[in-house]
Amino acid sequence: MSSAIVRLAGKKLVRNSLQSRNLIRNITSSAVTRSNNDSTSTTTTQKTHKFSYENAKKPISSTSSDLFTPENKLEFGSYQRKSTTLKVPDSEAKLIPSIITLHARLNLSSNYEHATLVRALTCPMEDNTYVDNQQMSLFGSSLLSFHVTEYLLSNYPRLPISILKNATEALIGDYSLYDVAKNSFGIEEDKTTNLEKFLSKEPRMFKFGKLRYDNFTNEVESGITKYNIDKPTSLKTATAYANSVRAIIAGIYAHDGAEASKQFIKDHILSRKIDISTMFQFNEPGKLLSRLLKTKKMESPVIRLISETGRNSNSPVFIVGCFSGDQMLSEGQGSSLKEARVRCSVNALKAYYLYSPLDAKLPSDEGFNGLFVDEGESFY
Amino acid sequence: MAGINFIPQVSRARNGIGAFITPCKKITLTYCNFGGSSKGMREFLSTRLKKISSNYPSIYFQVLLKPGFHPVLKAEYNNDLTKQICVRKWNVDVVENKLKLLINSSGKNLSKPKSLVKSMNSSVRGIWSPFHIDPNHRYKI
Repeated sequence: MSSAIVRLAGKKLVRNSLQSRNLIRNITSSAVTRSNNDSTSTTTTQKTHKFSYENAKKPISSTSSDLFTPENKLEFGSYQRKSTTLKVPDSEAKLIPSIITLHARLNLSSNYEHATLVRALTCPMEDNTYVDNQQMSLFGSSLLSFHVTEYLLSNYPRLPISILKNATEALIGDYSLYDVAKNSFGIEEDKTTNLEKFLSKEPRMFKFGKLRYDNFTNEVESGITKYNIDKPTSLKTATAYANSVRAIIAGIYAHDGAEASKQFIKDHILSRKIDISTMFQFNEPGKLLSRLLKTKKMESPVIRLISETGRNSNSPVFIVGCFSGDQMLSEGQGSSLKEARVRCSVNALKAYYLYSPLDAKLPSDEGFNGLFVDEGESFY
Repeated sequence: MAGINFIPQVSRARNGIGAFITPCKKITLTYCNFGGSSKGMREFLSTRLKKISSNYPSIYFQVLLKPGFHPVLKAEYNNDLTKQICVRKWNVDVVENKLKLLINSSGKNLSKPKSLVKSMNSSVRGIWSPFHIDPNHRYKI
């Protein structure tokens, strides 16, 4: 019974977050109306810090005059941008060596068109008439944040929200996906000029096999005045690479379906190493611990000395334990009593927050039977 | 104020856990049509390259004619490093072995390992502590 309630609550939570995301997108695209009634939208717009994986919250840069809207506005497949008309056909994309090898390297299925890979490597650029990865990368980033958040929530159900977001950022942020694109997938960026391409007699199509974007320039060479270099389409290198990975994943969803994209994310993104225990930085851990125990209706923490050596020497060691009633929550060591006490409180907090169930099932798995997610830091 | 701040992190690749991607992405084979040092390389290109390249679809094999130069195998890896082997005067079998060596290489520079085990994970067993045994059994100075 209780699990059913939790399951319902979980579903509601997911739906709520999706709704709020849609809301956010509407708000950012129109950027005029701001509903005061809805508490979620007001809180998210007030927030200043944004993680790079929260790509879907970025405003869509293309103007409304650029967008072709179908008569039936519910036909989502028929929306088109007027400025991007040309498409590299699949037959031509199959002739580009770097596209063929990338297709093989990622072990993509035969349904996955080579032209989609070309599109995924084309970022929005000024004066570019070929289809680009803008919408694909937006969708891919939503897909990635869904699967990664789901994985982290069910494997670490007690993580505080800031750490959960930071862990998500560590897995699918711009810098992480930049590493995936460059050092795992082997995607190269197109750095050569048209003249160099002409002189090296490179076929015209070969440039489509490389990542193309307007580079966001921070610094210019000495003696050169920076004058309007950055365009509205300019991207940082890491963002451009990350967007290509997001777009590739969106392509898997489009060609092979949800299950294949989930497997791909599991193989290439979730398999990467992150260390959540080193992400915490506690201010006043003793206070936090006593508040936490109060909300859990446990006895307040008491620090007791367990073992010590060399108290009067220049290198003493103290081992202290943190007790709530008869239960020992954690242990800490330090070269002073204060240091040991702080370490001990931190260890107790980490032992609580880093709890991980065995064989956690994800909500998108078959046979998912409810999930206990912690209520969060109610004392904030 | 009491609170929890976060320390940013970037995930690290563990190639082979989940998916394995061959680190080698491109191999350039250069040869000369006239020189005697390219004899083995020419035989390799005409008889064996097709089969090997079809076994490794994830690697881009580029064959270049460089008249007047010794034949060279040049491999590019995902980590931006390149490895080159000059195969002058070598026969076809040696060329094939050198090519396989480049394909199977991780692209990292060769270095002497400082420890027998290199791992990202902390020890499963933990570190032995003298403070957690019975005080009666402790070593007394």
